[in-house]
Amino acid sequence: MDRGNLEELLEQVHTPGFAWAVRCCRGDRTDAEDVLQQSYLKVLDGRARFEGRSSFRTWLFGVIRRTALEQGRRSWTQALKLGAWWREQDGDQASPADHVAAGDLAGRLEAALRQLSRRQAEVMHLVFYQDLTIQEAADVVGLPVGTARTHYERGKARLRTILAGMGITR
Amino acid sequence: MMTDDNEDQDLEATFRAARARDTAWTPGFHRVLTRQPPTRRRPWGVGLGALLTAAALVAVVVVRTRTHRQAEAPFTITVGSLRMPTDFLLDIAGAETLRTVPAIGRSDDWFPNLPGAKGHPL
Repeated sequence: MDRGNLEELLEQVHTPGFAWAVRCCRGDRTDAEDVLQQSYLKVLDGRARFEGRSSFRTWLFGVIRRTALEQGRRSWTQALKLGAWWREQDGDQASPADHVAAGDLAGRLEAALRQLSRRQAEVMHLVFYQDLTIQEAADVVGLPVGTARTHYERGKARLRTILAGMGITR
Repeated sequence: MMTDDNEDQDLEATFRAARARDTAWTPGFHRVLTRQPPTRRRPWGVGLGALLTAAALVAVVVVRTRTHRQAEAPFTITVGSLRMPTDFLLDIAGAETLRTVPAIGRSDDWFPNLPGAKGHPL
């Protein structure tokens, strides 16, 4: 597959790819652009090679996720974000003011997803936002399908509770 | 994935709204591909690295100095001064006598308790 074909394929999945990159970067759009660019360059340079064992989109999502994890490990800024991470781990609820500032349903959904574990948020995003099956989501995040299903069920219950607390769902 | 479960419709609607918003906010493909990677300034990282390196050097110097001093310390062990609690089992009767060397003509020294020996009452 030459570079032109690869660029065409990448462009076709660019919008969902960017949304997935944002999710992998915990909502940080600037980091997401960086991760997505690095992922594209990996694909175009041949450092990441599509071998057709899954759909191109599922495979690319895996590349994006690995790239985000690599970047997160390299980045010294992660240390500076430790406080935010700690608050997330501690289950600190986003304040009502944050929700008002978000100003819309999508913003509040993002705030709710941040309260889930990384895995739960990833599976929720892949299944509900990207319309992947649980099997495909498991392939992307590198989990057995049974484990992914557990994250799906628990994440769904927790997300519904959080959204209900925000007055979004029943 | 459109779930069959009716109770998931609320979640699906919420995510659908998020997707509609994000589609409008997504930067263009070529812009992402050709963007200049941000220069990551790491003043904290550099400072922290220098501090850790300095601390490691100080630790190495302190450890080496201590080791050197211990090696030079005057600490000698003489075998004769060591006596274990069970050494008395090796003691034998007349051990003091055996340490002296007999000599011809000086049997008095060797057998001082024999009758006729110098200093003996008999």
